[in-house]
Amino acid sequence: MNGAGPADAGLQEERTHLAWRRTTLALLVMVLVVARVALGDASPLTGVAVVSLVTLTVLAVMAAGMRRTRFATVSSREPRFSSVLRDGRLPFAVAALVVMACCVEAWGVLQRIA
Amino acid sequence: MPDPTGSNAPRRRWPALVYGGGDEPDPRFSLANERTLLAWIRTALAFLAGAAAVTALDLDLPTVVSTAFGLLLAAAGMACGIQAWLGWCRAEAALRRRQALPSPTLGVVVSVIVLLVGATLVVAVVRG
Repeated sequence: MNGAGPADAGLQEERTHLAWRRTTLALLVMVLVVARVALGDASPLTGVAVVSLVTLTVLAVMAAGMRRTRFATVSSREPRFSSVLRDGRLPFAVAALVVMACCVEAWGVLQRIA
Repeated sequence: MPDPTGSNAPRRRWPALVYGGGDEPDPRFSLANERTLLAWIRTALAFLAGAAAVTALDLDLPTVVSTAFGLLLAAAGMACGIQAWLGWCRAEAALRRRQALPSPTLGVVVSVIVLLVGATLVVAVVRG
């Protein structure tokens, strides 16, 4: 290693923080597009409910992701560490959201030829 | 004395396959792994946008072809999403155990899908 060590860990945190922000913003846009596809002819009330739920979920993921990067250099034995999802739960959640959106889109593609 | 069942005990980290052994890696590497996960997610979102565009825009393609495109691109998005998770798990486990990092196995699937979509597009343009 080049010996930079802890000195540049803060920059890595900022890069990761920004990566979470731009990724979850793109995720929000695409999930709304897919929701529009899936809702199709549903009533406006259902549409508003689904869109609100989906938006809140993605925003929660965004907040958790951005918060998570602040605890990268904190020891996992510190009490406040346990309040942050610094493990595989959030990666799984965000990957599952994307895979689900792709499934809904595939279903939407098939609906359109029905 | 630390009490592992007390309210101040750290929650067990999930998944056990990653956190069951090894030591805490250099945070820079863990953060880099996280950024790789997010890059795969953004790739999946790009494919998803492609699938949505193919069906939303009126390209002069027969229905079969545009449906195939939509499904292939959605599949590529799924592959990227799955790779994001699997890659993160395997890399984090390798970082903790100081082993060699794995290569992205589902990247091959994504490349094949892109080739298929490209070839179909060429054929459709040449014949249309």
